[in-house]
Amino acid sequence: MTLHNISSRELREKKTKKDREHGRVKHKSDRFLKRTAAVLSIIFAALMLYPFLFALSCSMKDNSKIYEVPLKLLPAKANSISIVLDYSDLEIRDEAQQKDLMMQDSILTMFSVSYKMPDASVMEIQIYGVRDGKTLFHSRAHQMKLQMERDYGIYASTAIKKEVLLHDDRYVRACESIGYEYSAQGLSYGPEGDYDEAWTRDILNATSEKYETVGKMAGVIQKTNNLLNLESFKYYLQMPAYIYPGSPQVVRLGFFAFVLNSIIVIGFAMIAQVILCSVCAFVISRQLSQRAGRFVLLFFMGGMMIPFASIMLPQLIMYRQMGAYNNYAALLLPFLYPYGFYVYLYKGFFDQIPGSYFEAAALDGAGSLYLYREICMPLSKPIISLIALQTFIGNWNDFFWAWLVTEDQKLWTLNVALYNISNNMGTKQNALMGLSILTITPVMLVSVLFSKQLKQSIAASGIKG
Amino acid sequence: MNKKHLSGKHYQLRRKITPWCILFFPMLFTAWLKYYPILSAFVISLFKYDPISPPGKFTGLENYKSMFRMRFYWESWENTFIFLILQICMCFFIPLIQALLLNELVRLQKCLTTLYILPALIPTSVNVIIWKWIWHPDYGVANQILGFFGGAPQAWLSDPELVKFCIIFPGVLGGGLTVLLYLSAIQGVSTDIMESAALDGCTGFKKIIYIILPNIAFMIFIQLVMCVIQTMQLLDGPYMYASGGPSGASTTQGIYIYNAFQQDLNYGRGSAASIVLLVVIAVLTFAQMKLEKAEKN
Repeated sequence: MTLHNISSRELREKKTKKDREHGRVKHKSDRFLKRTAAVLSIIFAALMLYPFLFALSCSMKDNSKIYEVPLKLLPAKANSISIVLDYSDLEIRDEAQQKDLMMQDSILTMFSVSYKMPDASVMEIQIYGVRDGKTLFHSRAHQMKLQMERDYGIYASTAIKKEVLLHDDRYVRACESIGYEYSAQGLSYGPEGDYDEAWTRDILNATSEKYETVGKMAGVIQKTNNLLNLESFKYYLQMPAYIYPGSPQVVRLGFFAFVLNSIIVIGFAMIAQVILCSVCAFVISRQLSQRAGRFVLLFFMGGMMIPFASIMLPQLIMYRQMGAYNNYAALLLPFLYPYGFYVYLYKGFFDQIPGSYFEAAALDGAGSLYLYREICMPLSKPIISLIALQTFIGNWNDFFWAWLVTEDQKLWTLNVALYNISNNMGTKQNALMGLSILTITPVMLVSVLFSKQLKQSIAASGIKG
Repeated sequence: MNKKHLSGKHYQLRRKITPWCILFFPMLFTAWLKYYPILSAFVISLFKYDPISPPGKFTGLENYKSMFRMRFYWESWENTFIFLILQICMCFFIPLIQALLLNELVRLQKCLTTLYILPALIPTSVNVIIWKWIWHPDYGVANQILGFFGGAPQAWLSDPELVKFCIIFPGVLGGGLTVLLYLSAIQGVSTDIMESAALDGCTGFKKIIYIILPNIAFMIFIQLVMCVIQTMQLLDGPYMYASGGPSGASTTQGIYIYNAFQQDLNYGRGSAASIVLLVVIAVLTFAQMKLEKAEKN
């Protein structure tokens, strides 16, 4: 009896020991896997994020730093310099001449500094015109603004020389485009801070020879303001207006013209697909016999199997003959038939609605429209958001069709615009990256906000497709 | 009585006709916008098409014959297949690995899945802008990294040997919707199997190899077929990176068709290539559907 007891106890002990050992082994190999998984996943995530961080840092660099080798991920600090020009001892006839002189000097200094000192990371130049201790003139320009005027604006494809800068009324137009303030009685603010000797010397060197100003340079104040790197984005948004001055829509809205087109196209696609597919699926699911329903569904699904690459050119020929070329009709028409896959997803959903709902309503004399609008639609909120999301993901990336049918800049969608701007030789890399970042950031933010719905929709469509 | 009977008949008729009336326009538009163009492509491919006075002279299968004799046509198929091989070797398995790793995580899983969706929402145009700068021969990161390891600088996108690699490479970073599809497939493996495997001491990497992978093998296969179908139709990427160049090294089927129309103005040959591509894709799609059906039964 005791023997038996002992042996059973031993057995039990042995068992638990074995179990524990087993458990530890399991624990160990699992823990190893979990650790490796965590480390590798984080590496993957970091690698995936790298291109975007890279784009972000490029977009905040100035025009010379983007060509720096080896590349630095952090943008350089942004200098803001204020140049004070003194007009105290000058013979000046009248006020008009005084203002004119100050405007000339301002343009001369701004463009010469940005042209002669490209490596100095001067993101902002402020010019103060001072006379007898009073500040009469102030103008401020961001580096991107000056660059745009030089690349596409008033000074497009001209040499940066004194005669060219001041030719005719160019400097007046430039001043007005940049913005300035002038008051004969003196402005309420003035230059603040101490003069920086090194900067004063550099800037005097840059301007004194070929770009001599009338006013005497009293000194240069240097400040560091890294927010100026962010301000570049404001000018990136305006850049399309400078690149394509021939299109009034683009000039008026800048980059938002393309954003608007993308919203129109994607919005139309989402609405059209949600309505068309639900109507078709409702009819297939509720009003047709099974055989007829399968035939119609196959008819819609068949259209989906035709690859875009083989249909694009016959489609282009047909649309051209119809006159749907280079207008919104060409962009929107391809969304005007139900996509087979979405009809299929809808049908799967409608099939699950209990038939008794419809029978009860039909007994009360409800028509098809009533059944669709009052029974199907209120129940199908989840599927509607799924279809809308699918349409968005599927068509947000569309490029080739929109590129084939649009010549006019005012019709370009974001993808087409980005492609065309990137093929424009004059466009600097930082501007391109900035526009890319501006394109994807809202989408990314929204997708992070709605990540739960997104995940559900992807999983749902994947299981069935 | 008679009247009632009539109205019943009328009602029956209306019930039968209404659905078709509703479906009429969607079906008409599908036929018009999708089926008609592809039929017209077939018709055009049989003609020596004249855009000014269509359809021109009927030539039968002459377009196909002359196209099959073109070296450039077969080169574009060759390019497509090299793209396909590169895609499968370099990019295809990355989302699977990412999903397998993700499945093991607990706390990080949610935030990393969100992160993995993001690449799917980046339009190709943006990707092209970023990667063109990375591949830039003078200022790009690629050459700097190569230089760091002592390699000679390359021309990347301007090099016919490397251009395909450069176009496919961004996919190596993974992410996208496939990660989520795999993850939901992995999480769909029945817990009974997982638990009994764990009891038998099948844990860690063994679990992945012997339990998870065989259970989602079908999903992987379907994704492979999808990947083949998508790579066959590759158009935007190669066009935006290199416009099919340099010297035609990145000309896929899609770009070949586009060039036949837009550069050579040979509508007949372009349509013939469209039809051949359609047939290839249709066969692949059909095979995929058959397989899926077989799996379901």
